[in-house]
Amino acid sequence: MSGSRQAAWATWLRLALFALPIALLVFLPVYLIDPYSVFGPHSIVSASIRENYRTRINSVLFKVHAYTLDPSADIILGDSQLAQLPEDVIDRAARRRISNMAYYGASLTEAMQTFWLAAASTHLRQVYFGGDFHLITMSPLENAQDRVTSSKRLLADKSQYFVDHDVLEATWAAGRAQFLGLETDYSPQTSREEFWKLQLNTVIKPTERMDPRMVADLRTMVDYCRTHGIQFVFVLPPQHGDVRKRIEQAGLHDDYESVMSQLQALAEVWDCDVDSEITTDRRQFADPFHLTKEAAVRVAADIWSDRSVYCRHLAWRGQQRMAQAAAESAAGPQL
Amino acid sequence: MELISPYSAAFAAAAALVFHASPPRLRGATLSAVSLSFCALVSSAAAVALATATGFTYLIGRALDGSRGGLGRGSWLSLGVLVLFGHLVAVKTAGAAALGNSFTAIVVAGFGASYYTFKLLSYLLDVYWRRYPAWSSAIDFLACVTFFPQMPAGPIQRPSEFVTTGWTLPDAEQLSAAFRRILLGLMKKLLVADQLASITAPIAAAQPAQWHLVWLLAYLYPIQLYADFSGLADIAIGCAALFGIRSPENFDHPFFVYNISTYWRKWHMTLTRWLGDYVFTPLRMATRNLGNGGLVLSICMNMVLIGLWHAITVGCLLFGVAHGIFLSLDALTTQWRRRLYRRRPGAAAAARALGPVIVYHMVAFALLIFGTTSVHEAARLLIDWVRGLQELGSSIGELFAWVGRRHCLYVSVALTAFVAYELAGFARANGRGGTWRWIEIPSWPRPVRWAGYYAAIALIMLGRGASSRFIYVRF
Repeated sequence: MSGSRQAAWATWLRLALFALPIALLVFLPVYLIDPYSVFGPHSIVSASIRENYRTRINSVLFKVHAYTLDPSADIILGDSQLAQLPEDVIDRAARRRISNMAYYGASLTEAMQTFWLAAASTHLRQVYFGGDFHLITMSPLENAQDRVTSSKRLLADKSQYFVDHDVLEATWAAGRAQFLGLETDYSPQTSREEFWKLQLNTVIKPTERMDPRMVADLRTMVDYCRTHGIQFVFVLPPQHGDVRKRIEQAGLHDDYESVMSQLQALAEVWDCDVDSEITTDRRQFADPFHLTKEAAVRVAADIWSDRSVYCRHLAWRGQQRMAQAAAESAAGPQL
Repeated sequence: MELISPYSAAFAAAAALVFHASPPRLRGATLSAVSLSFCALVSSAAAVALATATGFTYLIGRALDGSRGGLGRGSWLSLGVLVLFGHLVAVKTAGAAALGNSFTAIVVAGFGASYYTFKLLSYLLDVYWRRYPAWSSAIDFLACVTFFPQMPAGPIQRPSEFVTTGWTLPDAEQLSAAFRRILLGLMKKLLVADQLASITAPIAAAQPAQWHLVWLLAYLYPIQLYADFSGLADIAIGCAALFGIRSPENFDHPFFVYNISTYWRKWHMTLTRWLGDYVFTPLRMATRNLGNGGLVLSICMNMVLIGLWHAITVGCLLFGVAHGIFLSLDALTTQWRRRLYRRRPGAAAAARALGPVIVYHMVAFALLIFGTTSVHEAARLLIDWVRGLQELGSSIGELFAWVGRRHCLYVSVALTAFVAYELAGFARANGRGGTWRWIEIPSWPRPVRWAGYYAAIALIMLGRGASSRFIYVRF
């Protein structure tokens, strides 16, 4: 072998040596901890710790992966307000399996992308689309966030799992918690009162409007359900009364009513954002938009029970019109 | 398979190792097999299309070379050109439509089609013009055309520039340089282009609702595109060097220029050279009796073709027309400007100072209308760019609120570092960079070098968000 060829092979060897620490310090821990259970249920870190961090860092990747492995016919879509409702409580109340595919920090785009993912994975039966006024009126900029598509891409080429920012962060946090007992604190570093005010003022902005393109996309989704015999329900999650006050203060009363009207024109609505013992009691909420764990259990059990006390069921206006037309034609021509 | 992932990196490293271990006479076959496998991993249909087009062109090339009677040389050439153009249109339009016209469908159906078709066309034209004889080895020809590092987004390396003699392996120094080039490309793509995309992509998608942010899109997109495309070119050139192939450069600091014609000599150089040789020069020769009218016609035709090469859309057509007008004005006023600068040195100094700014605005103008679907939409975007500048303060405030101050700071740092790096490279390339010698990484001691590489990899892993796809892969 010539000297130059030997030197070239030595360079390859140096490259392997260079890559070795990366493999040992990054790839191996990711594989062994596997925070999103992409390589199976086994891990050197407990399931509860992994669940804690994957949910906080990126709840989309795990849910998309789990759903594609085992899709269910009934799904819940939406953001954190629905995501926080425990799946096992919902299943018991509904007496069937319903996959909670709502995500923390979700955009409307992500909720709709999840719908199409589910529709492509299985024959859907029921879709509960959860969203408050803020989610429905999310600005086009905020709606650009789409972790569903990026999760699908990652799962299609699993080698990306080893270099994904969220996976690395979850691996680090879970590993620290398991082996060093050091918890990573993701909770807000302010008092409850301050956070309450901050949430109200930053989430509800006076510029909230329904994006016509999103309305069109929602309509496409609902129409798909109607033509494929899938029951579609909008669920307006319970929020503390302060949110409604803030909406009024921001001069968005008419917009709120318009959103409600548009949703009802599209499909059946379960409106849980009404005065109830939950929505009038601050103690039931961690912040104006999110329930405490205990309240979330109660609400989840209530919404999917046969007789909800926290929500009112509003029929789809189209159905009302159809029923009216049917009644008129049955009565025959009026003289 | 994603183009940037540990999987594709492992594929490239394994392919290079197999190539190095192969005996010289089998290296062409090894490279062909590896390249077609890469293409098949993206799309088996694309691999079949590529192999078929290459085989067809090889046979037409042989026929052109040996043509005496029967079908004339012109007929063989016409047949070859027609079939290749038909092939390009078919895989880019019919294939994508069949797969749903999504980004993925377009990439999968037309994977590398624009790039390899141009390679094949130049080969047939060169053989026809007897610039060189047709290749005798079908295997070497296949290796040249299908060479996988150049498949996603060029550079367009013509068969005449692809040296296969002996398939010489790179030495240790060349290998190290290749790895550094790949790392540089990854940094450009993941740390600069993708970070800018996290701002520009939502703004583009949010039009016309977020009209007051169009100015941000206009100013950031050219840098994003440059970081994205030149990053991919760096990766391709570095990967090619692992196989001992010297790829042509595709960029030469295009934004540090004084006029738009120089910009086009430094941006996507292999495409502009290709079109210059095979479109502009023949056109100019044919229209030389028409004076300046012929010059303008040749320039505009050339630029419209560059626009339409990207996609057959109104936006791409307008992009070509805009650049055709810019270049024509530049060409028609060259003599006048030279005389002016000789008479008034102050004007020359002003042109040197303002030239890059004006060129950047021209590029931003054309890129803004590049993605539009109608003249009306293009006009609206241009008006919004100007209108938005009047609301600079509030839109910056909105930007901070939307992406967060931390991310804004991160993007600003990445952008500043990239511009500084480009400036240093430009100064070095022009012999004015004595003080910038420290950026020559090979001169660093090995521990410092390795620490730098590890730091770069850590930055790439931790600093990246969700990677967006390479913009130029779709063409």
